[in-house]
Amino acid sequence: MHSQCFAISAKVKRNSSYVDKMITLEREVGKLLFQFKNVGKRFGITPVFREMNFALERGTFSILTGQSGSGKTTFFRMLCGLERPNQGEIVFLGRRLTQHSAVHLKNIGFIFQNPRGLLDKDVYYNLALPLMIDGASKAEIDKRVMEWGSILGLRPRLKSLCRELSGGEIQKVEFARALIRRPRLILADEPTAHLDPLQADLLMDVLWDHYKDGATVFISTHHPPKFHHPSILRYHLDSCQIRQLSPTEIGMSGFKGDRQLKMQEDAGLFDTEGTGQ
Amino acid sequence: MMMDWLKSFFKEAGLYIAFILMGTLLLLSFWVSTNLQQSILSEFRYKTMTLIFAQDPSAEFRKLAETHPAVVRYEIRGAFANKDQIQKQYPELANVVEGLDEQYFPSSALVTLRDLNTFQSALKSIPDEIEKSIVHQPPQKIATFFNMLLGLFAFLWLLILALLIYFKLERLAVKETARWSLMKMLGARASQIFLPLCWVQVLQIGLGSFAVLLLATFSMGYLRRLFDWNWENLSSTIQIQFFLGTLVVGVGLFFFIFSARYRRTALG
Repeated sequence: MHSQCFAISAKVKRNSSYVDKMITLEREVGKLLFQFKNVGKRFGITPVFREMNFALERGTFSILTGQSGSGKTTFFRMLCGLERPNQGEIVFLGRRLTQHSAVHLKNIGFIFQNPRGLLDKDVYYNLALPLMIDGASKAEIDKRVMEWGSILGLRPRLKSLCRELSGGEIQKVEFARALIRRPRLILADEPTAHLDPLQADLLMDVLWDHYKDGATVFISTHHPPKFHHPSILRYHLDSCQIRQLSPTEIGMSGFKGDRQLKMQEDAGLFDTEGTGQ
Repeated sequence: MMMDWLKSFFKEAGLYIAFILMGTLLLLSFWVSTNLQQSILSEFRYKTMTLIFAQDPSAEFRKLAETHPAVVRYEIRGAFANKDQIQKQYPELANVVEGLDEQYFPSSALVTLRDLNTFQSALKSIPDEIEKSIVHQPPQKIATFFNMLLGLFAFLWLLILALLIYFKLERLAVKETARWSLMKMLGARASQIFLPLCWVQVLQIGLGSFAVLLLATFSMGYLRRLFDWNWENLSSTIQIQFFLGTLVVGVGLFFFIFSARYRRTALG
């Protein structure tokens, strides 16, 4: 995994030198990104988590599911450093997490269920903001915004104010803004909630590409994707605890459609070259 | 919405006017205080001491006054001269004083000194000769009063400047919280938001300081005409220092208040 990360770092360096200096998560010691140690959380007298233990490793693609009100968003906010546990501790890169530092925040892509974008600004500004914060050149910003505008079909709307966009388009703006820096850790809460299945697939493809490039992806969702891949770790929140789902529970049978084929090709599971292996 | 905007506008405009007026008062009090220091208080650059002799001053005292390095100048007055002085000073008592014998008007000396302590030590060598000594002090109370006034105006001026910046920042924060919050989530440093805001603030404070200087110059001219005295001009160095100092203090306060506000801004 480390060699893969450094290879990506080198590739990014060739493409854009400013991005490379931000890739710091790989340089931290250890494989664990997050560790929840006996974490307890309650709102008033209602417990959300009880003595919960969880670890999120670098370079994984994880999906968290659970019923409404099971605490997915609270869990996601804890990963973001927006909520603190009432007991136990959350460790991020070997240190107790209170709030993510500015350096780490530049390496984390947050996608929230409720859009955080600036509605009175145009799409271009919203996409360019992370790059402006990093001090990227105008040419670099233009290039990347156009690139992401094309990927997500936002290019005709770049000059439109965000308040003029549909819910799905705003969601895509959020998505692009979170990923435009190519963050090494992506935390997403219901990233496809406002999208039709086709658009949702597109976004999942993008996340999968990032994962293949070495990023760690964590998605909290109420509607888990129908596809599966052996590399995907699935977690479920239930009864104030988180647990990893077994292949049987996931129901790995029933691989259908292009997405599954694409992912299996990525993983080298299927022989698409007709070699008969 | 419009009412809120008007309210905040009048609040800020009021504070801005108060900032200009208080700055003017600060400069004026500084100017008056400086003039006092330079005129009245400079009279007391050297210590002055009055010595009252038991008898006429001896040759030994005259030699001491002539040769002692702490003495700048001295003037001896005989009994007759003192009697005459009192008659002139209190003409209504002239007849009474006239009838009194000279023995009731001892000889005295007014000595101007560079160093009071060394001369007082030297006087110990002729203890029987001096009946009484009086040290004349400059009018420190006036100087203290003006210094206190200066301190008070400086404090009020700083307070108004801080309030002006605080309320302006609060108004900005209401408008910009979403952007600041998002930028914080994207890892922006406080300075990345502070700097663009700072230039506007510098311009506003700079204009305010310039208005203070204009108003102070106008007020000084008026005071000159009102009180016929030998007023010294407020030097251009002081004016430039005031202008730059205001900018520095304003930016410092703005950064301090902004940092505190940015820390409170929620992430995302």
